[in-house]
Amino acid sequence: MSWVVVLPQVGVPGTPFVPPPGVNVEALLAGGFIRPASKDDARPAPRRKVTRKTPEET
Amino acid sequence: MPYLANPVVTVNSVDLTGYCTGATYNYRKDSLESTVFGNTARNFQAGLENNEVTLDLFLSYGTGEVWATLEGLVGVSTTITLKPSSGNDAPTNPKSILTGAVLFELPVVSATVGELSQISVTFQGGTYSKDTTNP
Repeated sequence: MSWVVVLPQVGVPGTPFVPPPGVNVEALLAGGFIRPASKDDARPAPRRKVTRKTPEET
Repeated sequence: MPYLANPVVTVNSVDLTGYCTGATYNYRKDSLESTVFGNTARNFQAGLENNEVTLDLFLSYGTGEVWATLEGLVGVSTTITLKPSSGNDAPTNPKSILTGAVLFELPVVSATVGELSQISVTFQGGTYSKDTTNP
């Protein structure tokens, strides 16, 4: 099971949350601090489309 | 040399520094008396660790704030860390860790007219450790 940071009090939002030893993950989930990681979290961010201007446009 | 207290406090990995006005971590072992006939003074030896962390906090009910952090911890095991300042962990800035502590009592409302709502919570039990190397 893996989790993702939601609120900045526990880390950088959007990054994986690795619980330190002894941390109660259920309480963090209940408080909305973290959420379970989904398949979309593993995908890289979509690349921006690069459009080059022709000399006439510049 | 005395220093101006400005510790970093986390409870269950949540940074509560911005709500905390007081913090005490007592690293303690039970004292077991081992005095016997013939002794001229009482003798003691160390027993089990009997640690305790007490935090004074401004109570707030917002998303990701004090209530949201503590509500799910009543009666369950968690980890608390205290560090003298926000710098990296070092021998001069040791992070004290209490692993396996339990919060048995959480004030639901603590209100006095004209004052900011404050609570004091105590985590009991757990094992003491210290980190002086990791950031």
